[in-house]
Amino acid sequence: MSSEEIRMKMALGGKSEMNGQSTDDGDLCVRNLIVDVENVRVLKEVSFSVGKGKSMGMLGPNGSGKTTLCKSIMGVVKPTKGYILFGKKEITKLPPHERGKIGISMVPERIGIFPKSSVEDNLIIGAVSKLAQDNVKDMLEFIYEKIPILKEKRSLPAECLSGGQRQMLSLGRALMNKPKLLILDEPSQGLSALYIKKLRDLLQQIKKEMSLTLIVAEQSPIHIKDLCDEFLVLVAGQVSGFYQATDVNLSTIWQRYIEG
Amino acid sequence: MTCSTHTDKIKAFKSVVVLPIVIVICTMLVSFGVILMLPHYYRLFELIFVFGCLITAWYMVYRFLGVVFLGVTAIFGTSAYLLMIVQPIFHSYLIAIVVVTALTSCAFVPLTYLLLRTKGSYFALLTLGLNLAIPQIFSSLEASVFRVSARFVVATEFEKLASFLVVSLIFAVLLSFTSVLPKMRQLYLKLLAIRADEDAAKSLGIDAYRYRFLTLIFLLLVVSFVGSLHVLQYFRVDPSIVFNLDYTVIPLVGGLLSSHFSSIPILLSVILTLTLLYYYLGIVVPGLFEIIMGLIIFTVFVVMSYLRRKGGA
Amino acid sequence: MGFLEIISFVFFAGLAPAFISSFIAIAMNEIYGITRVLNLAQGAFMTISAYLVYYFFASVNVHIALAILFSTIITAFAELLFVYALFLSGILRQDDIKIEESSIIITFGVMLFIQGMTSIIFGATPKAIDIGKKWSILPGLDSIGISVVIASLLIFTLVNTLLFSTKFTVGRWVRSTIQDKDLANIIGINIEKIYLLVGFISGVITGLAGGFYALLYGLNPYFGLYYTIVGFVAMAVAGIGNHLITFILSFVIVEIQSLLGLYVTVGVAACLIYIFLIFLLVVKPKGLRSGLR
Repeated sequence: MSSEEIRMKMALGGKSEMNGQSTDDGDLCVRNLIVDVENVRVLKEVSFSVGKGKSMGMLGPNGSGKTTLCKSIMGVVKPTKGYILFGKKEITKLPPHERGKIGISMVPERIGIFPKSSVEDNLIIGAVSKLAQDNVKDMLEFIYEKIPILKEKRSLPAECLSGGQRQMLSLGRALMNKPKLLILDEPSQGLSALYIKKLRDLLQQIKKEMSLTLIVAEQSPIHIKDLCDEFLVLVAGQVSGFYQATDVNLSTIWQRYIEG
Repeated sequence: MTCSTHTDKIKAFKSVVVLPIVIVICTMLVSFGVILMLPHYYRLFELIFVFGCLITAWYMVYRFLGVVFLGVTAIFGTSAYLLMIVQPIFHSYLIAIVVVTALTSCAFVPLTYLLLRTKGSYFALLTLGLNLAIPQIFSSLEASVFRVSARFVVATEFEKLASFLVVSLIFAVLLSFTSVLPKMRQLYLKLLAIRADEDAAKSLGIDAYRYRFLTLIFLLLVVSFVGSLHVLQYFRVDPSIVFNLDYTVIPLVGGLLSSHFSSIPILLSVILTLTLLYYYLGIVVPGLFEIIMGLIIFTVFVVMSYLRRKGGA
Repeated sequence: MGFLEIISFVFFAGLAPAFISSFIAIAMNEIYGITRVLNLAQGAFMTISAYLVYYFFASVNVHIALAILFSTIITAFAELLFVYALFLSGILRQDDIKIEESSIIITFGVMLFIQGMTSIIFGATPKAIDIGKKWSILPGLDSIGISVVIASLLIFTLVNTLLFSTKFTVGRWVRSTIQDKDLANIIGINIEKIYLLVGFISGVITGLAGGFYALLYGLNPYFGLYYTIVGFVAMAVAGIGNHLITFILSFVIVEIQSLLGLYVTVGVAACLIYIFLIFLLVVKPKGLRSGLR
């Protein structure tokens, strides 16, 4: 066995503690992740796994570490200890642009667009992997089909879009990369009920069509209860609970979340 | 940047009130050194006083305004050159120093007023531009109006020494007296508030621009004063001698080091070290002093930032 | 010589230094627009290049074109290393205002270091290169001057096309990094590569400027500061990100200074322009017309 394989086996402990799955292409496995930001321990030994094609909701109040966890998976924040495995590859020390190339994309917390660039340019920028760059036209057509408003405003500067439209653009940009894993950090923040529903429906559609692994961080389980297969509850940087959608009902998750 | 702890407030208080007393200590060192112990090193001690004043003034502007003032040479040189032009009128170096200090400060007030309206980084670069522009004016004046290529200090060594001691002592006493006035405490609190959160300070009715302006006036006065005092140490004076970029570099480096490791002993050590480096290296090996200063700046910012990042990670 | 003839002579004679200052202005604008580093040492890097040309040509007896090529490459790598050092230290990862404030002081230090090194290695006495016969094309404009003009225009076009045009992937990435570097990092753009590319290209432009300067004027360790100030003023007045007006303005500043030199000394002309530009910045703090930002 190579040293890399030994480390992976040790990290997994033979079987995942959470759901019994071993890693496969498209699986995400986080083990004993500790993240310190400016000498403050934000994440304390967080461990979980998400299987390929599954969707996980990450719930927690403000300051629970959801954004830091999302950023750690994306590589923007470097963990102090622990491992992140994506498929058969350890990606703990990989920079964000390398993670983009292997199929991880993120829709960040605040609405992330490049305001002076056009809508179409904003979408094209998202194609960072080689696969995505070779299929830019096809992916553009796919995004325009799913989000028609972006086609209407393709040549306008992105700053002309409304808040909801900008969030759609941010999502479209992340999808342009043909990701295997898509991370969304509080995508419903600041959106009207109409756009939240649009976003949710779109995510459900795309999840099936693209066999996407989804991680959606939200403060409230209301917006993602029908979207996610599993739920991770984070409180004060620690995993408070991990539930399958079929195992518990919403009120139980909500209670756990409130009680912390 | 917030400044919410009691310790920070004490540090800031020390910066405004205690630092002028540092200048007094430097002056005392000069007096003792010159008169009693090391008369041959009079020039060195005089430099300690000059650089001590420059570094202290620059440091206070950097600390309270958060701006980098790179035009010290322009003010210093203007004051020095004006003294040479004005002194024959008054026949007395002492009176000329007082008049020139006031004149130079007033001359730079409108420019300072304008420059403060630009944003921080532009302010720094525009003040650097002053160091290029002002010497040109004097060179042109000397060539076309006064028709002289250089001027000469016609004071005896005793007159130079006496002027220096008397004026510097008066300056130091005045500064220390002013610093302990009750108004100064109010001033430091307001400067502290502006530095911590300018918007919040403005909403409390504190005129941030006015207090920034006052702090810069302090810098103008101190630099003009030491410029006019320091020129007495030369024999031959022309624009290239008094408009020397070293008078900007030394306060910058000294002020930066003092702000990174802020304490009175550090400030005094910095003043002494830089003066010694300048005194022994600046003249002996042209260029070596600049290399060392450049390396210090690079190390303080870049290397320490890298080490802090690695340590944090 | 009639008045018009004098004016045209001064104008054409001023073309070369004016376009050299445009080189520096483009390089500074590029670095500042993308990394937010206000590079006070831009003129000092130009000094490195100029002295290297002198060294290769006068001491090593290399052909002047090769001397310029070598010095340009060395200067480009020097500036690349400088940007890399800033990136590694984490200074370029801070917010824009902090980068600007730190970069002024750091680049001032780099400028001092380079001036000191040049002074020690080559001495403070002026050096000059004599390349022999130069063909005169117009009164005041010779073959070197026209080379500077053509090179400057080419560089401006190339930089704008490669680095800022949305037709190329690099251009899109650069524009994204300018608008929001944290977001660009999150979506997978390699901002480290962008910064290094920008540092290298800026170094190439500066290296060429230094090379041309060495052909035209005598060298001393401190000549670069003037071009830095002109470049900065042009950049600030034009508005950040406005490459075309920065390019034109830097050219105009130096030409006006040359023309004013007919009536007042060159130094006073520089002062007048400087004071006028301060007023302009006070009235329009964001510059005449801000570009991408």
